[in-house]
Amino acid sequence: MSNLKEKLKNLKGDKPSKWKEDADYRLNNRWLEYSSQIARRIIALIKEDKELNQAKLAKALEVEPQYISRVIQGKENLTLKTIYKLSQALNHELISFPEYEFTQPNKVNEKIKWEVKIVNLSKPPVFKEFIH
Amino acid sequence: MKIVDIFVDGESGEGLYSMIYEGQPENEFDRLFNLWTNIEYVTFYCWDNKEYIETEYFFGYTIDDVINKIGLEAYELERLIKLKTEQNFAVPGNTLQQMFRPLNDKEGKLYTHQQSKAKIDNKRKFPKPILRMYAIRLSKNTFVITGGAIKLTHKMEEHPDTASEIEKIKKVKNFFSNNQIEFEEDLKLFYE
Repeated sequence: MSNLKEKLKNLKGDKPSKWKEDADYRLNNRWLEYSSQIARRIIALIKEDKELNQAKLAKALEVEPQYISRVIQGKENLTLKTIYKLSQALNHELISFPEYEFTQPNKVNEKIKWEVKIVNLSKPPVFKEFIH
Repeated sequence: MKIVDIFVDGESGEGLYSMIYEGQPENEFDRLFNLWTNIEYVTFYCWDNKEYIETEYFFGYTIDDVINKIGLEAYELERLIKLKTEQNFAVPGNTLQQMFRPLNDKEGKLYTHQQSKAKIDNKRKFPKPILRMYAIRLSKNTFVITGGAIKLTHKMEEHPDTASEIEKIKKVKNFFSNNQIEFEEDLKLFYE
């Protein structure tokens, strides 16, 4: 056994690092960039609305607060259905779509032609309905 | 205060270790990457440190730019360290010593218990990197992570978080001295 290894032996803790496993997951799941972008938008909306918080959002979506916590950390693989429900509860779009030229699938214009209007702004938002 | 293997050569014991401090649930190395890849933590950290970001040091960067930058740097730093574990990190050209440099930029020589740091070294793709890992050099190609930070000021003393990292490095240095972990005999090989 090398001198270095021998000397360090007695200083070792018993809780091993999980980094290799975590790093593999983060490096191989780049959709995490998308979930981080959505999380940033939710964080900003919560910051702006004093009546809104993670617990209320969890109730509005009928999920556990821990789930919302993971969403806000950007770690949750969100389904389109969940993004839709979150958008409704927040009364703001979380994703938008560029102006596609469907006859030229490789061409994407920079400007946003429209956002999917999944929230009926003429009605009180779902979240507000819940808190009143 | 204990140490944990991050990636270590089974034969020689060379490699990367991390400190785990009393009462902490995880070691410093794991903790840093878990924080830097947590967008909630990064966003609030930048908002809470607005006055440091809106200075000449960050000329031209908005808070949103800094949040993006942290995400990109965390990915790249993790990728580069992961590559070291997949390739032989003892061969010239891929050593840990190339990634961990003296903390003091003016120090030209390497020595045991030297305060060290790692950051992304790619000025073209990552100008002015802000993520730092701090470490103590134990022996040839062997480092122990003491902590790390999102560096928002020119000097470490200018922000409470980086200032506390200096204290952590000093405590770890004393810890190794008190435990007679010194490898002066390897110094001549440090430059390989």
